[in-house]
Amino acid sequence: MRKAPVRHQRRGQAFASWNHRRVPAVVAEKPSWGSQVPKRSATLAEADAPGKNEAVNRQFFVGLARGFGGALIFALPMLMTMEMWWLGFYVDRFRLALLLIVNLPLLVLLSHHAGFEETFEWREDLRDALIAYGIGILASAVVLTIFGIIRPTMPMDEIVGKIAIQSMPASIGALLGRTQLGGRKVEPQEGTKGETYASELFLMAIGALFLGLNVAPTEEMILISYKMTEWHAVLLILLSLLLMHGFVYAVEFKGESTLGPETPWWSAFLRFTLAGYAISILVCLYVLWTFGRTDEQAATQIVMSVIVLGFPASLGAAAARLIL
Amino acid sequence: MANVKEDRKDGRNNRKEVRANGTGAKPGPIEWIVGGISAVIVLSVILFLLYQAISKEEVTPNLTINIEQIQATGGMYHVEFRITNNGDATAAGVLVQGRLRDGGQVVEEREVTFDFVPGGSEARAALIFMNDPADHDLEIVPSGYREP
Repeated sequence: MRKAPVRHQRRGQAFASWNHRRVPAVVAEKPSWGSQVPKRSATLAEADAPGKNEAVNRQFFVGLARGFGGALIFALPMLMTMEMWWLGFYVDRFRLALLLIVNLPLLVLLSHHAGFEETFEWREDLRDALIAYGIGILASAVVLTIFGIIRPTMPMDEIVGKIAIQSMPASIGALLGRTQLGGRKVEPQEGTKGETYASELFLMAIGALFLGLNVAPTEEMILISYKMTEWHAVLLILLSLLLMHGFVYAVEFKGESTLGPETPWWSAFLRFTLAGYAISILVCLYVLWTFGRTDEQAATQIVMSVIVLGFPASLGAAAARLIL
Repeated sequence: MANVKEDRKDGRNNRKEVRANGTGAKPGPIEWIVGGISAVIVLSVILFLLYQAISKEEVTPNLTINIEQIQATGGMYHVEFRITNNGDATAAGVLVQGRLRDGGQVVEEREVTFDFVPGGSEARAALIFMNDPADHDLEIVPSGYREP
């Protein structure tokens, strides 16, 4: 206990020096589309050098290319799923619009997490999110056109619907691609306890979307839930929780400050595993509702299909730090 | 104890240290609240499923059909109906046939197939007749189904 004040002091210094270093490096370290150029070693002086514009332009296109790469990696399974094409023209227009609106704050927050900065640069994050959105829409339109899924003779409603429903996964992929293909990882926000926790849960939700969206549109999700009994569903919940906890404990958080070695298992289970699972099934419920899979279904059927989709989604949530 | 941990942390970069500074091993109240709510959600889902599993009685689909409305469109008659499965089991590939009769003689016959009619759920469809159902006896019946 005697050590405590010393430790605080040392940490305080580290924090100060980080702050100090960060100020001039703001431009350099933020992995954005435009300003990826200056590496860690770059300084503002260097950025002002004559070659700056060319380098910035070049890096901007590298960023865009990474975005397209990410969009394809993430969205191709969905672009090549016929249920997704059908959903494009029959999905409820209000729900589709809501999905597109919800996607924007999601991208802004994700962009924030993909950055190195603690500070919230709303304008930069919004700009990056919009670029990712644009890439997502463009990538979906190009791929669907090449596949012959959308043709100029089709009604506008169908074309727009087919692209729109793909633009969400594709834009998330574009944003993640910029980070991952650039050799970085999406990290939880560093801030107060509450902020960090909220940030962990947000990344879990993205992880749940990441794996869940891949399978959510398929007929098999519903078919599996028809084949299962309620007993199977309860077992599947327990299996999901067990696997999640394995990830939470062994892979994700162990050794991190959020979960020290002395944290009892039930504490981690309640705060991360159960919370992550609850978030996953809520995400699943929203996705299934958006896709119209819950319409005119009995409550049991809705719960069962949510549990089935919750299996991949919860694994995605628990492994969020590995796969994002 | 604290000393050892501290030394280990020294090996990490500054980011981690900032992070450690912000969080600490001790969870805040918000984490317990979210964890508690989550526990309630997950438990209620499990209890709901267990209740359903125990209270389940019928293991066959129970299909009923209700005609909703008949619309004349482009010289044809769309008979819109709703099929409800009051049983607990899901019916797959449900074939529904509709007939127009004049006494014992079948004037026209139409059919439609539902991929799934899950237990406790309903689905809607329409049969299209060339003759006006108002001039004949209309009957719509489920013909068969298979297990999903």
